[in-house]
Amino acid sequence: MKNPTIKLDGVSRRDFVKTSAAVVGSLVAAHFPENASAFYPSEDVIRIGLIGCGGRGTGAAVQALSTSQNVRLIAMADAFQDQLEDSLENITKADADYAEAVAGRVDVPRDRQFVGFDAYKQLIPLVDVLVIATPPGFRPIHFAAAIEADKHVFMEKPVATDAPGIRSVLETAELAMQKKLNVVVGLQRHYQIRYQRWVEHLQNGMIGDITMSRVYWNSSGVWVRARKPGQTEMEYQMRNWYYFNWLCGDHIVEQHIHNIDVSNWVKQGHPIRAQGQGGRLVRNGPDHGQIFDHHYVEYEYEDGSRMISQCRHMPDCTNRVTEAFHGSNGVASRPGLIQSTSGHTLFEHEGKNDPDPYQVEHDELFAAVAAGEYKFANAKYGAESTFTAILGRMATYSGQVLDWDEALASEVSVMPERFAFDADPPVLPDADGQYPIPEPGVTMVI
Amino acid sequence: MRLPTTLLVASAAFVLLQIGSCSTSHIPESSNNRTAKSELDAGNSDRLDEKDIVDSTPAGITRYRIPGSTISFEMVTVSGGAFKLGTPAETEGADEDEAPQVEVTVDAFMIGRFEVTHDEYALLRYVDRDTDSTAVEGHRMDVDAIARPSTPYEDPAHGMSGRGFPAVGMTQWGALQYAKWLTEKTGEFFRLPTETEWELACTAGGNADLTESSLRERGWYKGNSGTELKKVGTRSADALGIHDLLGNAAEWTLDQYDEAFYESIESTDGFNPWRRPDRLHPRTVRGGAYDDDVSEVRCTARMESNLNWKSRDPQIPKSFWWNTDSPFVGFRLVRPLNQPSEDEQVAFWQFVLGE
Repeated sequence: MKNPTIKLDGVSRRDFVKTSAAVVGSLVAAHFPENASAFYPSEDVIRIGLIGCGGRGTGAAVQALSTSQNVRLIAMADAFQDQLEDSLENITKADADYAEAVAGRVDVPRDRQFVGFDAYKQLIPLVDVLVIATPPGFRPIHFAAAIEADKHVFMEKPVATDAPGIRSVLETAELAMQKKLNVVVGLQRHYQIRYQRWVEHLQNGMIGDITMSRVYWNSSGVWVRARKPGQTEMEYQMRNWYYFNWLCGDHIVEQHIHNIDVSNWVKQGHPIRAQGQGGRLVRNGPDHGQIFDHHYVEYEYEDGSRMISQCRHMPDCTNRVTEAFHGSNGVASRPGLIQSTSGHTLFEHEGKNDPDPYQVEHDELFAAVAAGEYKFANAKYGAESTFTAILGRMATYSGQVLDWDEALASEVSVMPERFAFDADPPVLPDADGQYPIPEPGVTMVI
Repeated sequence: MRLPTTLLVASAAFVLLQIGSCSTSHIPESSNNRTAKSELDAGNSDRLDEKDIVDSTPAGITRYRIPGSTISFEMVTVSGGAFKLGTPAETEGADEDEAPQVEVTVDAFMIGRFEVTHDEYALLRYVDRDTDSTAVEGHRMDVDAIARPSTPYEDPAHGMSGRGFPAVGMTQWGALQYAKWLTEKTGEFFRLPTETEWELACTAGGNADLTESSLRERGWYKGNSGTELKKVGTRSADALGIHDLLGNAAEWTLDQYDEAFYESIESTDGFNPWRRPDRLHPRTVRGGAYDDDVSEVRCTARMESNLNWKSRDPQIPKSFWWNTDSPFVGFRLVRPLNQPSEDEQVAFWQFVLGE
């Protein structure tokens, strides 16, 4: 659902900047050299800060800098110095197709490069817009800090890894709406023309009531970062984050959320209940943490319809990354195609030359910020889709039928007590290097 | 620019088999490679037995088995000599970049009967499939040291993959990396075809000026594919015994896409033309694909690669190996009959791959 354009009624972007400056005031003297506070006196520049400088963060920063607004990347934050430095280098010499736009828009001297678990705290006051692309476990914390400080946000999906995290994001989302701060979440299909048109037709009843959704992310898997000598357990997990639930949420959350979200988008709501099965069959070594390599979940919506969700991370099996919907009067067998029950094509949009939705996300956000418009409030559906995926994970880990409300109220947290490289992460390997694996029928999730 | 053409005395410790006579038996099925290791006859893995000879294959086919696997691929020889590249200007149904028609001379080469398959490319993708480090005498290869394709976040083949399908979705660099790996594996030099070689093979196979009904028999294109990629070899072979040059997966060539390329050939000697790449984009793709119209599925039609094909890659740097949106592009290999020297090969890979 497209968010309505809400004019800011007299609150201009200049006021945002003034507000930010007021927040910055007391911190600047304490932390930064004198000249740091004198940069960019012009209120026409939109100052961007990147939190989380991995591959996606670097990409998002380049996309932000490729918009046609007067943007500058002026600060970066990451848990790791080497990652921040690599990212800065890659942004500065981005692909030839981006280099023209990006050159001259990057200004991140040493004193605006922040490293460590608390780096975000130093960065947030300095900027107007945050681009947040850390592993998802940190999202609720960073999102809350950003909105608290009156900043606009682009944040990657998913937006949390457990129920308490989701509740925090929902609360922050509410606050962002009250403050009229633009929040875009990186579920980029919402910014893709083929999906926008397809979903709109389905929402408008082109094939009647949607009785079943089928969503898939079956692929080979992702990267692995092997343990290196000298790393603490915390550092190892932070580097190899995909395989630990507190950081990643398992692949059903980290990746399959894209497809699950499309179903929620079409149904204009979220499921009320889930049950499913999963495990780890192929990707089950000491380098693969605690996550499963396949999940199969049946979700139930309020109207009784179902979403069948499959995700798998196994090499050289049949790959499928897509969504399909069955209605009372026809079928939408792939994104951009809708057919009647008799096979007649009612709608088709191929979109081979449509604009890149990853770029469009940024184009639209920064256009709104530059114009002082309030247009984007993606965090609520971002949180609901994330929790739909988390609910699926909870169902496959426990082997139980779970109700949305009860699961969302759970106080079970996957996060560590303390964030520091000498702190214990919430799961630790045994003598054989194996991590505790969920056991359906035994593992409690609520 | 000439390709290296000096002779390499091939030290083939694997068997190069000329199949011309009838024998019993059939091509071994590509088995599930997870268990293939135990099925390998380790000592004699490089020799093809009598039972591996195909009885119904036309003469002039050469079959190679990839060491350390049960997978084979076949090549046919395309005779060299003079031929007319392109189409005369103002020809109806032809594009401007196919003109002027130029007389060129091409050395003989062998070309794959089929597009490189998913099964073959998997040997490069998955280190646990690529088990044989002995390869060729004197060509000891450390399989663990090979740079392998990165794991793509989404699926470059958009679900159109599996046993017997053409390998698709990789960049031209990814295709060349396969050729380099295969070269090291076998001791034979394989590479992508130049545009000129590709067009010669297509023309020599009798694929030029096909009627639509003939195309329907011979290739997968928009009119008969249901807009999806098909397994290799499921349309009829051409006069040389080659399948799917036209349609199915469009095929990477070695060339930079240069619309004025043929004009520039006129001022050279016209021997083995190759438009050497001087920048990343665009590169030339030939043959058309399962989702192309008749007008694009022709021997002389030239397609340029498009930056769109990886615009949806959300990381920086973008993947070297994969495009997000080219499930319609794969490749086939050639093997020059006059194999370049070791030094020339090293220089070649350095130039095309930067390593």
